[in-house]
Amino acid sequence: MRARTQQGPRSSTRQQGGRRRRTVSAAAAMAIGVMTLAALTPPASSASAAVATARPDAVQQALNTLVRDDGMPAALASVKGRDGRTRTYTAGVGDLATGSKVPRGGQVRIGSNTKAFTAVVVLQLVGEGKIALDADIDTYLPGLVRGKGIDGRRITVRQLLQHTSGLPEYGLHIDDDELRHRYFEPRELLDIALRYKADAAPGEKWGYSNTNYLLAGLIVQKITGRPLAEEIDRRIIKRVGLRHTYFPTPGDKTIREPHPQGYHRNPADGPLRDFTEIDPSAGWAAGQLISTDSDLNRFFGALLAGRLLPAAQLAEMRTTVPVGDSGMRYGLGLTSRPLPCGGVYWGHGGDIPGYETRGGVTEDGRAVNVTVTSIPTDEAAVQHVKDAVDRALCG
Amino acid sequence: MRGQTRQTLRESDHKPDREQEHKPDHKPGRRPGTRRRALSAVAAMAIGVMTLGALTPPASAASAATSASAGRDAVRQSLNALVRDDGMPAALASVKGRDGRTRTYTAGVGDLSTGSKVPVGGQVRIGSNTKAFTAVVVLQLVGEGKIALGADVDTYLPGLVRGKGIDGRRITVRQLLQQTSGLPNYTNYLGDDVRYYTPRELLATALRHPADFAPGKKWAYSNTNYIVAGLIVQKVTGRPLAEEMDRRIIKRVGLRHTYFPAPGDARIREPHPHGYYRESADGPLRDITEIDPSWGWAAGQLISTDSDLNRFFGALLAGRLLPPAQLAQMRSTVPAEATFGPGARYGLGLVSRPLPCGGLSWGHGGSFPGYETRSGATDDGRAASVAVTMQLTDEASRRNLERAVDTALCR
Repeated sequence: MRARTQQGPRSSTRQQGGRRRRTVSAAAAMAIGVMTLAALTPPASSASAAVATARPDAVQQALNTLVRDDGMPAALASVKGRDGRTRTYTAGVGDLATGSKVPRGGQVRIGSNTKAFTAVVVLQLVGEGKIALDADIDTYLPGLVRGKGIDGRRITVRQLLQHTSGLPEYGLHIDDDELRHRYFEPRELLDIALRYKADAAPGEKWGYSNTNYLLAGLIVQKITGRPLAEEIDRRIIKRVGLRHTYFPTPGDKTIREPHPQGYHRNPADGPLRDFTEIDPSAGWAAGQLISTDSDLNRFFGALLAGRLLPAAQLAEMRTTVPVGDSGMRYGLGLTSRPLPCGGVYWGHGGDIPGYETRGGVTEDGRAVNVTVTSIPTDEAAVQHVKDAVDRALCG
Repeated sequence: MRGQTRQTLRESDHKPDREQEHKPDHKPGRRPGTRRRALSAVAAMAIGVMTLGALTPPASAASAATSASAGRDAVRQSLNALVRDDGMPAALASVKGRDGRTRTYTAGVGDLSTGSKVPVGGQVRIGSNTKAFTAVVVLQLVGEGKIALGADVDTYLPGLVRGKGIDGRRITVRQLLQQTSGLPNYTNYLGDDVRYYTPRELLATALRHPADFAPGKKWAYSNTNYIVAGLIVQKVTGRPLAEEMDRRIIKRVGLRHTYFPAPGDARIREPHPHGYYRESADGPLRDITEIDPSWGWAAGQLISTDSDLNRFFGALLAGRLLPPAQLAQMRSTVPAEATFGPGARYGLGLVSRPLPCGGLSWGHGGSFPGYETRSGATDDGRAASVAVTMQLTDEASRRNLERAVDTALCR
């Protein structure tokens, strides 16, 4: 769903920045003061102590920092190194109420990483000649996308996947507690978005909007005549063998396999609350999947290795536009970010109340995904997640 | 969902001015395109697979085999007749008699390609019986003060229901459940496409066509009414319809073999007889057990058993699902003979039919590719459900199915 931390700089320049800014600052405020729960939070030193026996390496130290300094209840990582070996890491506690361990390789909500899956399905259909990237939305969803400054006849499929459609964001208008409990039909989410005017003319500029992927998902369903979840499962999850990845069925608020609890503050200055069980339907094609750090490594690895897309469509997916001034670039449901040791890594990243995941893979097959069990909001914490990724890939 | 031939009869029954406007769509004098076309699409999908005709056991063999060991039980004889005379691959029944005991029956074969037995108490697609479940959820919400029967649709779904002669501000929740809204029936327009549909797609299909009549002007069966009712449930509860049905009815009454298939699930989960259809009157029987039921949704997606249907309608009449006021509303009926046969009346998602032995039976009935079911429950606690493994297309077979229910209730 959100890619808030990445989007911050951009969103403040947006026309509808008022709302976004409030969201961002609310999110920022979320990290202030580590709350009444502090009593339940084990002292960070004990967390790192637990790791002391494990001869902490750079990745472990980065995770410890996220728990100790940034107040994350837990941090998890899976790293596939230059040697091809995979190492998994945990820090913190899986459940603040019980102090239980973080399950190694536990499942988490991967939020906007789902967009990379949705984009792959669309691009597979492009490869099969069933969707054209430069066809307009109305080719597939006639008359569905209309609003103030919004016309589906003027927006292409590519613009959806690239976030250059100018479509307004529905997610800004759903409170996190409403999101937590409420089941949304995809078309309800579209209704919400279309109540607002376009953020920009199609192709005019880059602007992250979950609405783009909502529509991409509706196109997949229209073209295949099957539920998006089924297409993702058949075309990606089964095909690559992502055994811990699934698209929750409507109404399913649980996380199926062992997992750390996810925590969230809403309102932003409220206490950390357990947000593990939420209705993920507001995410749908833009953010509903549950997975693990290792499965994400496997997914992005298979993608880059050409095992999910024909060469032409993979090239389209990797054709990027600049985003902000961090060096990050956005392709079609795929980001590239520069590494301090040179080169870039490819991934996406995702935030949904309770969990944030960052990571990706390099051309030579290194891979990492890092998850924290609360969305970090202050700059330091955001940087520390990035540091954990950088250290894993550059270490 | 209800058989289209009945819809046709109804459609040709009313001839107001408005009706003239639809003529192009309705192709008067023909079976409604819809279901037929939907089926022929399925048929197209199945072409080449089938030499099923050759595998079909002669009806006489099927009935002889089953009835031989069966004695003279009237219910069993009815089922045998459905197999032998009406050509049903299988017929199943569950009967709760005056003595409170439940008996289950089967006739015919469960799978024409293997000749296997019909699983006793097997699951079937119950089609439009789903409407009774949807109506119960709506009426529970009425009892909780969250929905008002007299409120207009726009109160819950603002701006969603608009079209030619269609205005959600003029249609009440009661009219939806009662089938008096005038909303055009989307299943008449689905075309050849048996695929996954979202509820909103089904609604959009309906709204491309003009209203059948002004709200409240008359009675006409339309699946669209229940799609809108389902959307209202989701809007008011903030939960998926399937979850509300499961929590408020299925779990509560203990319908252990009843479920709302998840999106994309084309199978039937537990032991079941295969469902069949014929593309044409003289064509071979084709297996249509696996089908995406999403086009039924709130109007017809559930899978259940005869015994669970008995338990559901029994619990409903016994007041275990609704407060007295809402049950009384559900049982307030209007004439519905055109669709449901002689003497039939329609309440809110509930059908009453006079019994030959006196009194009324309450149920709904359902028709879905592969399966046709009829149920009846009485106020004194009798209940009977009968299923056959083909969707019925002629009036005589439907009467026979209803007679089988009546026979069971009047024993």
